[in-house]
Amino acid sequence: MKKSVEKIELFSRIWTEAKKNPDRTILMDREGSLTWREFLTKAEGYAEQVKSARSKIIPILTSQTVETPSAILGCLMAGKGFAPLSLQQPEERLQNCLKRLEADVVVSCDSEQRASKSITLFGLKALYSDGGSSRELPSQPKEFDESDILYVLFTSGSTGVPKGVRVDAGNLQNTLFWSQDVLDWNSRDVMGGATKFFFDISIFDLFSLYYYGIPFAIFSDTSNVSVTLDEIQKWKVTSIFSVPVFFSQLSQIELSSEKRLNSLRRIISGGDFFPPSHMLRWLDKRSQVEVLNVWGPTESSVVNTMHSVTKSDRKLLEKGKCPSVGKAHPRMEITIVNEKMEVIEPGEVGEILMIGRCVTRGYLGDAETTKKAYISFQGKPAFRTGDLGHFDVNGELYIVGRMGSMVKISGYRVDLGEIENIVSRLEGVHFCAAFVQEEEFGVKEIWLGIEPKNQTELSIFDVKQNLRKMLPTYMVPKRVILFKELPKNQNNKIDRKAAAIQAREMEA
Amino acid sequence: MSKALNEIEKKVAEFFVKREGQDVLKVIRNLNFRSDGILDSLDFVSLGVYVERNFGVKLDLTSMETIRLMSTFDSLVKLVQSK
Repeated sequence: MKKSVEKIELFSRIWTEAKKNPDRTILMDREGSLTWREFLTKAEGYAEQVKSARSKIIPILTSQTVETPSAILGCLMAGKGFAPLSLQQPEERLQNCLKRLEADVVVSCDSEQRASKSITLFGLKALYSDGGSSRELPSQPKEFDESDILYVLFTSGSTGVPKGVRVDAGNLQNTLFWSQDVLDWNSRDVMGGATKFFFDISIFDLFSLYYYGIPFAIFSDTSNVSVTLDEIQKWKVTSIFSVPVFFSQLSQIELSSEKRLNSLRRIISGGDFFPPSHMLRWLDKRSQVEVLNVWGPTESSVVNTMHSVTKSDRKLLEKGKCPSVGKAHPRMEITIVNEKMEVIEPGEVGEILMIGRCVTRGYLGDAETTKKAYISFQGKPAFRTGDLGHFDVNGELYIVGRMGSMVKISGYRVDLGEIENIVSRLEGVHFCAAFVQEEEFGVKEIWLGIEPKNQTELSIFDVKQNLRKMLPTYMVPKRVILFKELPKNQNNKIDRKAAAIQAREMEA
Repeated sequence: MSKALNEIEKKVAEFFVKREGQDVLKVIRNLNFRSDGILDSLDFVSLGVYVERNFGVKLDLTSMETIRLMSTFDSLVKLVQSK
């Protein structure tokens, strides 16, 4: 079969927009804003810094400021890929990511590190940029080939080591071109950046700026509703793509009378289930805002389906059920299979496979895991998403849950095995089991059961304080329950389902 | 804890004991629930619901000042008592 090659249009699109409107403001953060000219000049400063690095993929320690988009574009201008990393994660985890990248340099966008100008960070040569000073637009760089790795994004891994998803230029362009068919961008649109730059939703936001010239406003503190509302008003944000938790928080305010939301015309919710009751609040109290329910794993290039939630979904929502996430598209082929990998009929629940150009390039330095998840299906590349779902007779896709131990918590994909792996390192822990409890539909918490070693008296508070030093906040279990003996199944494996039931009874 | 808890304090502390275990009581007055990573943004919503259920007090979670006051034990108790 002849392979179709699509020309990458990243830089040509950016430079076309920048030449047309060099003084248009296109990036905003808590400290200020950048025009196209300022943005490209700043990015060029980063490109100068990274161009002589040996690494093909440049790790970037991100901050929620205009520095990060500039550093990302700078890496790309230098012909390098990038790997956005969080500084708010345990050092051991961060070191693991850096090791996997085989990096010789690290770019820091963190203001404290930039101020300190340390020569090295985490044992690597540290690079900073104060931006270029040219009044002229930098010259347009050479485009990537579609098979060039554009970025590596780290997600939770079962062995305690995060998995680095390798995404090529063709993968991301496929998603961006798909989004053109489902999102009607206009000249007044402003995207509000509500997720961190190490989360792939922000990659979509950022590349919507690069591909379609949509100004991008980076919220300073999304945990603070009032500050976020002020910023929506100040920057006239029209569109926000985030995890449901963000929109759930907003749904608690007086949506119908909140004037600071006047510019907002749509919310795009993905990464987890949006609690139906919260979705209903948006429909009822802010009907002028379109609610888009989307779905897609990192491994199939950020987002693959989109559904506009309307009044026709009301009955489903009132029953506490989630609406469709959308349909397949020529750029986003989807099929659902049973355990024998046979395609199943509408209405039947099975594992969702993503097929074709959206399928990324596997996990960095992890051939074994890649082989399990990235397969060939009917002669095409496919990714086993691990998500369970079904089609209806109209081809609408519904997500019902996840296979195995991978769960979604506050939009973050968490492998419970990674938590258990960390917990098992704590002194006094014999066995442990991490599981999810759902307080109400869509509101999930990680709980942890521990069976202490003989005669060890464990302090729950000490366990949690230790875990806060070892895990990102969203992975720290909300509750820790001490078991005399964790339930086991016939194969003498820990029975997590039974542990979850017992834990709930113990906590009742 | 240096000082015995009164009834309101005990009820407020229950929220934290359930999540953090009994030993949290030893240091509860020294913690900043936000910066020490004890509560995330959704937990503040849960705490708000807990306060409303147990004390009939509705807290304005969109107010930065309310979040600040909810971030330490003593100021949270005062906040509950003041309503």
